[in-house]
Amino acid sequence: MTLSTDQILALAPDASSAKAGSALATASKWSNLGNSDIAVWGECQGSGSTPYRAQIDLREPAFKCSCPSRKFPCKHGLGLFLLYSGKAELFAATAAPQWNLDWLQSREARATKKQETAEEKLQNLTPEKLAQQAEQAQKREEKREAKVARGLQELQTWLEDLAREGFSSLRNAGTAQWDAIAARMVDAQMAPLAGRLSRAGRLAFQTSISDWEEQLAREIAAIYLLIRAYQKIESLTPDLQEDVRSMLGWNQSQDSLLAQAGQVDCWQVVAQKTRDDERVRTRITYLCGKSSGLWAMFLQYAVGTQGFDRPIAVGSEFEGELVFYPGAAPLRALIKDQRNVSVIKEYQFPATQFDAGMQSYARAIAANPFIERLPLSLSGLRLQLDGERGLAILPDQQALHLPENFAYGWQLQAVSGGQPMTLVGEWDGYCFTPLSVQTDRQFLSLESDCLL
Amino acid sequence: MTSMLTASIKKSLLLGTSRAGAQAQNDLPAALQDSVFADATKQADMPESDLWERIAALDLWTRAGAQTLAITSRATAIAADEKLQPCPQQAETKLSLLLQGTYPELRFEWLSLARQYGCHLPYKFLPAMLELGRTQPVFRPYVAAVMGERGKWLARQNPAWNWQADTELVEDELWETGTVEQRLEVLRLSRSKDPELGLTMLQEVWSTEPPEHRIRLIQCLKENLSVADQEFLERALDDKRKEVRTTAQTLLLSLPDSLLELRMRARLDTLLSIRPDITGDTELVVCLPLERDKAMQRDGVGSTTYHGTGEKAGWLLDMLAAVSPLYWSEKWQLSPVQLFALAAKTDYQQVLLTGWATALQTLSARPGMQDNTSPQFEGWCLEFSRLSMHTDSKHRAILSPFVHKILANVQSGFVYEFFMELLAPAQASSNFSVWTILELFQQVAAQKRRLPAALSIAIVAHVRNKLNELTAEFWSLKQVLNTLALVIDPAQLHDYERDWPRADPHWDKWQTTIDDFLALLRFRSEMMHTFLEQQ
Repeated sequence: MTLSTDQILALAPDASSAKAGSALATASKWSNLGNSDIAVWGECQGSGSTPYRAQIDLREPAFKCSCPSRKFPCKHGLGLFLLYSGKAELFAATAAPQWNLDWLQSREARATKKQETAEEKLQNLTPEKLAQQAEQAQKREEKREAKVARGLQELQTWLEDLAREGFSSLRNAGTAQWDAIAARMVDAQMAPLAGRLSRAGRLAFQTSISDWEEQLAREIAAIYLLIRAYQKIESLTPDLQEDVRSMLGWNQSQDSLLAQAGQVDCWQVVAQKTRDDERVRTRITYLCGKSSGLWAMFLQYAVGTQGFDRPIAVGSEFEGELVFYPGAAPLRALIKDQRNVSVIKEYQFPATQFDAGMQSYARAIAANPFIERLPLSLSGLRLQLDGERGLAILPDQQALHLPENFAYGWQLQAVSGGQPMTLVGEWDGYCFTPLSVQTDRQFLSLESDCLL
Repeated sequence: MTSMLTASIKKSLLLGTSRAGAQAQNDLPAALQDSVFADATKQADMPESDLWERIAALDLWTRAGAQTLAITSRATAIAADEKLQPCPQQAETKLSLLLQGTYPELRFEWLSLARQYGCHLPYKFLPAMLELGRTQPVFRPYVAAVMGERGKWLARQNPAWNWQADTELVEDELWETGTVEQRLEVLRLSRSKDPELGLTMLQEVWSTEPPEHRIRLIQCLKENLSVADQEFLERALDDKRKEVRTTAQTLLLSLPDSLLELRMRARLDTLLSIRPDITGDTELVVCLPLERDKAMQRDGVGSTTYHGTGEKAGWLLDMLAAVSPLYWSEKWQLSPVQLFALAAKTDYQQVLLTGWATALQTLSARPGMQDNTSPQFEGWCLEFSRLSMHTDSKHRAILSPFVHKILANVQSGFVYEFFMELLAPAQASSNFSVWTILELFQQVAAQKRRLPAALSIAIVAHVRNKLNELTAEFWSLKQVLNTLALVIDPAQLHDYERDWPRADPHWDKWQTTIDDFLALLRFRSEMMHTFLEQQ
């Protein structure tokens, strides 16, 4: 398996790592380069007395390096990968060094152990202990529910006060009151709500958005609806209960999810977007199952200068198993198993007509009214950028709005040359946000392939 | 975008429910009313919760039945077929790195390579490159050469990028109403396309321009300067502002045999003469001017004061600086070396050498000088360079800055040969330091002309062999190498990378600097090879 240079560079945690990594992608920096079916390795002379040992498990890909960098993957890993992708002939197909074998072994051992400990834990527990644990969990849960209920009560009052006062004086008041209520939501263990509230508060100050009142009103109304839904959660279907709880901040245990059987397919990574919220970066990756035609959303977080824990590049595909989070219209998924990562040779995502796309969107929000946006791919689109706001033109002279602050309009226009193209993006019921583009010549991820 | 909110909801939203009064029930679409008002648990007298619930319902209802917009405007025409070929994939990757901040100084070279190999820019980078052309005009010709049909098509659609489109109309308007910067740009452009038109434009507005604009506008005549501009520049010598006069003088002196130079020659002819001395050898007799009349002042005599030089000697220096030194060797049939020897025997050696050096530098800066050199001119350049390298330190300090600029201006075969001479092992151990040579090369490199392969190899070998002698100037070695790395021929990478004294106990002091230097060269070399891929 190998990825293209651009895809490898897209794995870098930041621009300086990409730069340093490309500087290291030269044979003279490396010694003892080698590869096997599943791994590549090499030694890179750094500032220390002994060279750093960098290695890559090609199956995921996973990186490991003996350098002290906290960035992940580090520049040595990227440099090694770039060198391997550009000049594979430099790598000798010799026996792997012991340090490579040890690492691969420890990875496998860890994976097996993780599974075993979960099982062992269950087996080793006496019925009394089990009951005790269940009781403790129950208590914790009750405590949390009480906290959430109180927090939501407080938020409801706050939102009703906001309705009473109206938006006209909002801009004078600043964002402090929004940050304060968001902080209260953090205390009440409802981090997702906190994020939504502080982002909503900033809408009023974004001069690039002309209809901020309406967008803010919709967001607040959606949050209000969520409060009301939680107040009568017993009356909802189990799937919808899961949706409401996850939107309020209850996390599904990843271990228990991963213990379930997932959807096996060849998954193509077709779109990605990263959002920076001060210190935390959130990355959404959309995958599409080659034979199932299912969409999946993979969500990752990274703090500070750290890269995302699992490198996943648009334009790559892998065979594997995805486990979907439970919900009325499941989309978010975990990667349970990932094998044979490679560059996509033929894209196979369902490029729909707009009407069909709208029907599935309507069905989804009918099942889960808390859904904001869904992935959608539309074919035969052209862009019109000369008006006040960019438009995506459908084949039948109908058009969709692009977001007001959409940054990649000219890039799309440039790669399409005015010819119809297929766009993969997000639909939120009002406008379409393209994330990737396919023309007759190429497939590009706007975020990682096109520069602003 | 049309709003999905009803008028009464909007009113409540802005004024607040406390001021807007109760909501009318029939405000919502009929299909929605049931679902919103059927909830039995709802408190009837809560207009606040009512407002949010109405909005939530309307929002869901609108999104579930989203409508497209019907458009009437015609679609943008499709871009024409490309005449240039796409650039190789690896070259595209290199450009991506350059645009993201890796070695941004190499963008020019990438663009030049693309042009050389007949490639157009990758489409996805067109917006970034057109934007670069908008914000940094110096990139425009480079970008325009490789933007291809797609780039032209794209630029036509975005007014911000119309620097590439046919801009005459815009230019006329900018010349009338634009900011000084825009007007300077228009004038420069006009001079490059039609110098005569540019001159006429300037003449028409000259008398009405404020002095601070005149100072800047007149400098635009540098573009495509010719004898046709002489009359205008002569009149500018009478300007009230000194800066305008100085610029006019400089420009006039860039013209061969200008009236200004002829006047200066006539003045000097009465002050300098050659005659036999008592021993029968030739002697250069120097008389200082006794006074400075109005005409001399107008021509710039005495406008500068020179530290350590008397007032009248300074006048002499100003006059010498305005006359090509070739005039003297022709007039007296003496070689530069002979003239240096004669000057050394006068009381005015420093004045004579500085005056000649300044004049030679002016001459070397004339357009086309590096392609079209006469043996006399070459002789002056070489002999002055040798003099500055071998003279005592006092004179070297005075002459070196001139010589560096002269050699940097006139980079052509004979200069490169001189450099090789400097770097020859026998020379390299002579009385001038390795640093003197590197300073010279830094100036040469700043002109951004690629050095020949043999010279490139010799320079790198010089640095490699002399690292030990560079301890005192080590702090600025990095800067010098950075400049050099941009002009050294990247094709010889193999030669540059070998034989560094990595085992030397001091190597760790140099390592980062040398590795950075080699990394930049390696990047350039790789960049060049990416374009060869498709050949």
